[in-house]
Amino acid sequence: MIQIEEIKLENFRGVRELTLPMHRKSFAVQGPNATGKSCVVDGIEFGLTGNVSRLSGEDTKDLSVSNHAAHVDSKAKPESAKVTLRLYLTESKQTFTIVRSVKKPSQPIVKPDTPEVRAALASFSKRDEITLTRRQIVKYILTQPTKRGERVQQLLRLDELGKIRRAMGTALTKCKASVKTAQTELTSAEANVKRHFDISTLDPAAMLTIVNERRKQLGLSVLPSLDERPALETCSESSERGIVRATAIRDLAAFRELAVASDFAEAAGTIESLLSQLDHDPQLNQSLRSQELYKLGLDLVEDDACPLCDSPRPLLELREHFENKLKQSERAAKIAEELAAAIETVIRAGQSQLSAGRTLWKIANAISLESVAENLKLWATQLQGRIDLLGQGLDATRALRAELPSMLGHAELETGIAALDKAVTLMPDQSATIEAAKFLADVDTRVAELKQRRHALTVANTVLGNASFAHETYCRVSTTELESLYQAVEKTFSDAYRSLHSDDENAFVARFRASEGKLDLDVEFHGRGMFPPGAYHSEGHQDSMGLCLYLALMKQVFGDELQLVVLDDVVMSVDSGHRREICRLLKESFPETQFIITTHEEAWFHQMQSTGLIDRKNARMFQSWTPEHGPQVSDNVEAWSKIDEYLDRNDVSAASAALRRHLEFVLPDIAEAIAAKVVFNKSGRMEAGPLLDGCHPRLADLLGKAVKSAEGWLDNDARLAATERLERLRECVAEVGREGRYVNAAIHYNEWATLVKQDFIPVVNAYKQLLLCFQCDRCGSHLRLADQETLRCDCSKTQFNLRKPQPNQKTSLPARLPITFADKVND
Amino acid sequence: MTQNTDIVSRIQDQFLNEVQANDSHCHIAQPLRVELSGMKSITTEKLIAVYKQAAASPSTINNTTKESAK
Repeated sequence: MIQIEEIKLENFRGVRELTLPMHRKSFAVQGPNATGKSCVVDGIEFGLTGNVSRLSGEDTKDLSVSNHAAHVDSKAKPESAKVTLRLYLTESKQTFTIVRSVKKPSQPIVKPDTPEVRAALASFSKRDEITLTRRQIVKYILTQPTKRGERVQQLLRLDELGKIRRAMGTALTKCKASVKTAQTELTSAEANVKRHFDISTLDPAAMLTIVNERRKQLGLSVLPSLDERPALETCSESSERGIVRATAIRDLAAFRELAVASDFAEAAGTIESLLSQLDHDPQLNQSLRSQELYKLGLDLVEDDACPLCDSPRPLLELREHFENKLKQSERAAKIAEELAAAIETVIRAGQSQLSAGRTLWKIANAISLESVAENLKLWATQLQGRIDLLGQGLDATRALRAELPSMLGHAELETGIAALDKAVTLMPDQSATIEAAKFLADVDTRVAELKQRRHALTVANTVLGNASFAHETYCRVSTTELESLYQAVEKTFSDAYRSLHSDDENAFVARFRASEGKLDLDVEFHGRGMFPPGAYHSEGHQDSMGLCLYLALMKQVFGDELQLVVLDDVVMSVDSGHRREICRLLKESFPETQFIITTHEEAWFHQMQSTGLIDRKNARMFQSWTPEHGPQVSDNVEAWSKIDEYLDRNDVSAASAALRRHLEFVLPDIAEAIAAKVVFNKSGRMEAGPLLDGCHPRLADLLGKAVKSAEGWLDNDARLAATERLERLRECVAEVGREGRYVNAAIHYNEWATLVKQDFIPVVNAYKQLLLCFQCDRCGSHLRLADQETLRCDCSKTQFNLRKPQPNQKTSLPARLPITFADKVND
Repeated sequence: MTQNTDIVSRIQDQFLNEVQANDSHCHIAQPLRVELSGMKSITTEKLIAVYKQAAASPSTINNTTKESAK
């Protein structure tokens, strides 16, 4: 797996140039809207995969990476728009870089370019779950079971299962259709045989009796069954050919009856009625036409590209797009269904009529009515063409509309049919011997066809059996396996959510129900039962659920190997208390995972640091943004060097702004760490002045307590340490009071414009010294209150006891205060 | 390789084993195994071809399957 050591963006999205060292540790970016936070998220995704979801996902039809990933002023130079990632491969403990330009997003430059590195990048390029946004959270929680099933399977990298299941389902449907066709053809063949024998049911015994009667007339042996030998086994080829007059008369009658069959007439009437409705409702007509297109599209979606334009789109997204379009018009869907049923009836009637027509063609040939046979052949070809056309959709049906009622008719054949009728009627009474021979020859032909159709139906049923068994088995096996997987996810999800909401939902449980590609999700609501997540839970709770479900799924996929997750403003609806719990969850349950977190919430940004989820050196505030310069970034480490840089250029205005930004970046964390009282501001904006006014008196108060405590415990070293820091604080506050007016946000009367570098350097030094009073001299972390009795840093090197001994308590040092100022001096 | 790649394989193996163990349908197990192990995703047409081939000549395919199994 991969973790990020550093990212560099050049002319990418809203950034001109920005380098962010991440040190393979969690990283946070905070800033108001439109300050460029998302550029970092996009940069990570682009660097790893060559794609930017924001420019290629849903509802982005006018956007593309090639046209819009470069900075707006660098559109003409996409080669200058690039992202450089320095990455770390955790398996081999190897560092490598990848440089990807917008001009050639699929051809990154990788150094060192080893198979192992390429394999790691290839696995990332298939991940679409690197970044979690609130929009995605909603899609996991508040979505239809089918879509949730697909999304979850995609996230779990089980989408191959869905593809196989869909292919098996479609194959099953097609096999069922083949069985229907084979059944229709068999029915026609059976009708042919029945007419020949002039029987109403295909009774083998009765048929055998009739055959043996004829065979007796020919002096042939009695057949024990029709299956054993041909009915007419001894006649020459020429004598076999012929017509049985009575059968031919029945064949002609059947041909005429089929043309006016009632089910056909009814279906043709339904088609005409539906087409008339569409004529009077152009919008409905358009919906129906679109439905045809989307159905076709859905059938053709088998690769990750649009079947119409070949543009690459994720398979799931494409299928979902077509399915959504299909659902948009219920009325059109109903009409489409009725139309399809009526067309199928007409097609089957046509196939029966064709079969009867072919029999007449054989009769015409046998009695040498060549022109009639030719006309019948032409008619059959035309009818076959119409049947084929009917299966091709709305336009084709419309094209046949005028001739549909008489499609099975044969007006153009009437003369020929009449001639055939006459010829058959006028056929001389055949002698019993000739009649028997011709009858038996025709039995062989018709029974052979019947056997062929029966075999075809048997084969079609066997194919259907195979398809059905494979589909059923695959669905059962995969559902069983997925159920156990979902149970594991369910538990991790429920545990995580309960840990976030132990105050109000400590009995929370979630339940997945998987079936045929669907995934229902119900959650417990305050002991009132199981409901869909969107039913009663607040938006903030839904956000928590989405995050927990995502983390549970990722944990299921990667286990302890989950190395990199980007959370893009995901907890905007979660309140402050629960955000703190989220920090704890991420830190404790995913200690090896590098989280890249963006937020516009300043309070959460500081919580991430105060809870230790994010190191201070890995936190950045994006203050403002301009197209020319991109985001203005504040950070804990580079702020002072940035200020010095401005001063070197004698740009006091920029140095003053940078100093103010830095104070507003660092003081909220200090205020929280020592529980300082800051004047409430309804807008939520924390300005340097009020923050400082709350922080330095609070630290003075705490250090005063530390001095008294040390005196009480008779700990002279501790007293000296606290006193020294308290005096230093007072001096710094006095110095800031003398110099600090220049950074007061309220002073914007261009006073700084008259200042030069030499005027402003003392201001910077005063604030720098003041902020050092709040830090450990060794680890640089801010001193913070621990359980109201200790003021300490992260490394415990700097530690002040605040608890005074009780009146009757021995004044020996508490055991849990191992390090004092004296220790520090000796160290 | 992720944990869930194993699940896909496990489902596939279990599915093919169940097909193989079924007297009426064992002859489609081997051609399905071939298709499912292909580099490209299985398609509807390929599946129907397997089902038809097996239905047209189950004994031949059955023998082939047994020989392949050896």
